[in-house]
Amino acid sequence: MKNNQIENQAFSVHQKQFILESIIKSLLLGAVFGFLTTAITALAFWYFDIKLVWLSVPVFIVSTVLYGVLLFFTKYKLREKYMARKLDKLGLDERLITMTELKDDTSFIAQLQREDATKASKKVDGKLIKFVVSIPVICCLVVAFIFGGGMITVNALSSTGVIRSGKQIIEDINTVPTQYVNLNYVIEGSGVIMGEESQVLVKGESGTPIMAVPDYGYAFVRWSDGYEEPYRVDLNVESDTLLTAIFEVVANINEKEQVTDGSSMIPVDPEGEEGQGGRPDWQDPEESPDKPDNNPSQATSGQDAYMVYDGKTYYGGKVYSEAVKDAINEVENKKDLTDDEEDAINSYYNNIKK
Amino acid sequence: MATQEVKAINQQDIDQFSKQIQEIFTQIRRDVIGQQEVVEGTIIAMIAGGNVLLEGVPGVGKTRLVRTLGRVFDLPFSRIQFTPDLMPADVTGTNIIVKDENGNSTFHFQEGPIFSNIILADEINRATPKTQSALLEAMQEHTVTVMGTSRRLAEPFFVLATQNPIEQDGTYPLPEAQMDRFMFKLLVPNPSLNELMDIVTMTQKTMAEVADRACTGEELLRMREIANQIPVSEEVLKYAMILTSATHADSECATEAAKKYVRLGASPRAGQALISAGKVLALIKGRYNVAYSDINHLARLVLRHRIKLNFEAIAERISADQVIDMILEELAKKYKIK
Repeated sequence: MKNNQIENQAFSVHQKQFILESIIKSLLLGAVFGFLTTAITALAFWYFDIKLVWLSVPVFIVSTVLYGVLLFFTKYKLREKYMARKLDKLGLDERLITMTELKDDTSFIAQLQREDATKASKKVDGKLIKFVVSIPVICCLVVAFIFGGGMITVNALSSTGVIRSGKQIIEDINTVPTQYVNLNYVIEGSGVIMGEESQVLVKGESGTPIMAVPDYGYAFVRWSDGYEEPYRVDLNVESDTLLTAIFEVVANINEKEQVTDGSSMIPVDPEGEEGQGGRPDWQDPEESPDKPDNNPSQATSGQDAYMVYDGKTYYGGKVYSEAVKDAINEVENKKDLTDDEEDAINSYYNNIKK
Repeated sequence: MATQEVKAINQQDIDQFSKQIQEIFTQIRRDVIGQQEVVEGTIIAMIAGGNVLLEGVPGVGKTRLVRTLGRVFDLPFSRIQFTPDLMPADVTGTNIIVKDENGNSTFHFQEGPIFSNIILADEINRATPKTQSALLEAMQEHTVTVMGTSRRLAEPFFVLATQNPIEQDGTYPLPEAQMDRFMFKLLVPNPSLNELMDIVTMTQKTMAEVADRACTGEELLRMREIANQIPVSEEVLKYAMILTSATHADSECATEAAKKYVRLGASPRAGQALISAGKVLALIKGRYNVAYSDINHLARLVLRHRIKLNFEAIAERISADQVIDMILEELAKKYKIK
């Protein structure tokens, strides 16, 4: 009897079981690749917003079968050594593995060994052959199942509009985020900032108008950036900015003395009433000779004074509220104002009001 | 494949082997009661061409076994009783001055007891290391060199040494080099109660040895040739080498047990012995290939005298056999070998 025939006899008895094992293992590992293929397909569908969720099932089946067949004829192809090792573990004492190695040996002892191995293999109970699926394959299958199932779910949710498609999400991520800058106004000395002291602006935008108003006994000097008008609107703010309104105390206010700081003289009248003899006048002091000498209006000769005196805000030598009234009257009474002048006054008034 | 091309064998040789091996065991059992493992180990070593070291307390039948072997194989048998004052020349022989017909004095080599087929080196560890070493060349090369002249020993040559446990007084432990030249170290246990009863009953009738010849020296050599042709698969061969290597604490195959308890691992001779003896064992079992089970079965016999335990093993009273069992267990798990 030829060597091959003897070997075939040794394995043919149990061949069906080994084929079945190969098919099961091929399909299991094929399913791993099937799930992965399905996952990749679902991922592509989700990204490009293709609403073909049902296609995942045929993709899975086809890829599993294809990979299964491929694996059956490659990785899990029936190999004599594999079968020999498995059968030897059933008490054949390495007879079959030795037989496969002696395939081309024509010596008497090799033939004797083949016959002995074949004889012994026939006595083996095929039911005892264990099909073992390795733990890594099971782990891969579970992971692939979760990944595949998860991607199909994502695709389904995307198709029904519950979640957005991958492309949309990527586009959102790629959009340059809006940059914001902080515009803050603080004071040095005693006074208040009228308007929004702390502003958050889109980079490059302009802030809202504000005005620095000193407390009683103080006068506005300038802003920290050198700007000398209490009223300001910062335009095109490009970076975080902190501006300080600097107020300085007015000396000897109770003695109704005039204080000269070299360039400006700021008169105050602590007992004066708004709109009466004691209140500051924003007009030329010569037009109000009955007012006391220390009236704040007297200090405005050639200079504007901004101060709070006796709870009232003086602006340009006049109480703020009176100045506003006057401004309104001016606008209403002076019909000969041009539209531009009227708009400018209204704008100014509105800004002050804010 | 580890087959050696010698004289081709046929079915008749195989049948003859089976018949003779049965007969050998039958005849030995007539004189030696019990000691199955020792008898089997000795026969395997003889067929495989190795030497055997028997260790056991006095009176357990070591010497009787050797004498019986001489009778069974019908081979010349020498017994050397090793004592502390035994000299190497007492073992190997020496040149003596003799007068020829003409009255001239010439040197003539007087062969020592080593020039025999079966040597019983009784209580070998009672001799000094120098005398013990006199056996080295004979055991390995099967030659004896005296005064620059090498002489070949008759085949089959087989040394069967006995030793008392080294803990006993007046003993010199055998050097590693000599230990390594013994294929097996067999532990001769005290007989069981039933065996003891059989021994006493038998010796009450007669002390004479009754075993008959089972085969000749030539037949023994033929049996060795047949066994040598038993194939060993690459996987089994590799396993045997891994097992040998696994006894070394610093080898790539080192096991945890070896790392923990072994100071010196087995030499390559251990690997050779595992395969040679494995072939004989397979054939005795009626199989024509060596199996993992054969290697595992022989592991203790081959390795126990070749590994030197470290202080930790001695402190924990772990024996070499226990370490070997641990190594086998680790390898079985690692290579999924039953």
